[in-house]
Amino acid sequence: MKIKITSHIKLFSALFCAVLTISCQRECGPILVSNAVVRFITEDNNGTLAKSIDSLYVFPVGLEDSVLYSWARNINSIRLPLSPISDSTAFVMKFNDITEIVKFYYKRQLYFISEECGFSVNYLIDSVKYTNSKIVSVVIINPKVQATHEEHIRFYF
Amino acid sequence: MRSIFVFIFSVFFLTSLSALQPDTLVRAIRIGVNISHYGYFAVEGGFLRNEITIDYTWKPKNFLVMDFGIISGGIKTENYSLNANGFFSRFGIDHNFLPHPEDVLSVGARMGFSSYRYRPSNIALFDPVWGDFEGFIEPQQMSALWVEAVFGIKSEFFSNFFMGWYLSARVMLLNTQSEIFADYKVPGFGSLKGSVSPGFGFYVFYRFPFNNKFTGNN
Repeated sequence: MKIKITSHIKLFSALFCAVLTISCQRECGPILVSNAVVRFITEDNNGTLAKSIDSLYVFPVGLEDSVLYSWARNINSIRLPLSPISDSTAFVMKFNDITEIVKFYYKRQLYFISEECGFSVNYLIDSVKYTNSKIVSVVIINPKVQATHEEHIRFYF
Repeated sequence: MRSIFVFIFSVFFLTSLSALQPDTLVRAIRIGVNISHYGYFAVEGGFLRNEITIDYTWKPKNFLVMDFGIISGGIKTENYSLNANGFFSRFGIDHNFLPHPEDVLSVGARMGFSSYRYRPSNIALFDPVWGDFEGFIEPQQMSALWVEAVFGIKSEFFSNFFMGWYLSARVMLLNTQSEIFADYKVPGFGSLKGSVSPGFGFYVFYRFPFNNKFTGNN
């Protein structure tokens, strides 16, 4: 059996084109930002239940114009954008007429998404402080905040 | 998946070693250059890989193989720069299934090692709420150890000149890849996404023949 040079070239061309086609997806698609996902929970005699907030208004302290939730109705979870330029971020949360301030303390870590998309930021939550006006307790379920829809924090009412 | 792969690799490696005869005489050393990287570099840019491979005929149908490569250069975009430098090497065995010595249709196994450094700079980011900001990351020195199964074809197209290509499936054993580059490439291995990393290469070889001939039952 003698392998012809033309066979090599044909095989090489086909494989090289396949490799290039696979690797040539050069566009960076929409990137999910690493937000802290908070769920609202209430407890009664029947156990733990998701709590639906009638009306919620949220903005980051220092960015009053960047309203994240403007009297959102019947909401039981929220996504909070942690500041990538600071190791803590505070949010003002208005539950109807009760105002709560919640502050997240965390570590930041840059990570490489891909050659097309470049870098983004993940967070590792250390602690959460709150004014106790409406929220009874806070539990960190998953401290690692990445670009996913995973739950990170629970606010108990 | 990884344990199965390692088991197959080990069996193949040990079986091949057990066939080694002490009175085997060397026939040839073949040195090749992987030219597929240059094609990819010309089309895609990015890092430049220079890679050579050496195979040594210790039995008529079995070759000891060593690959050595260096990586250099970088990527520069509007949002970041990423420079890399390092080297990788693979050692292993190929078994030829064809009777004709000028044709090789081989299956082999390799163990690979890589040591490399990524140096990110000029990182510019945008957050829809917090606006533009800059990032800084220290250079990351990393290393990796893997095994791979290789399928390849090569043939002589001119006296002592060979052309050949290979396909490989690589499985990582150990690596010190930082979390910053958790899913990114390892030079000589490929992407860390998924449990198996595919590889492909196209080589041009020159064979340095010796006068020695094989003896014994070979």
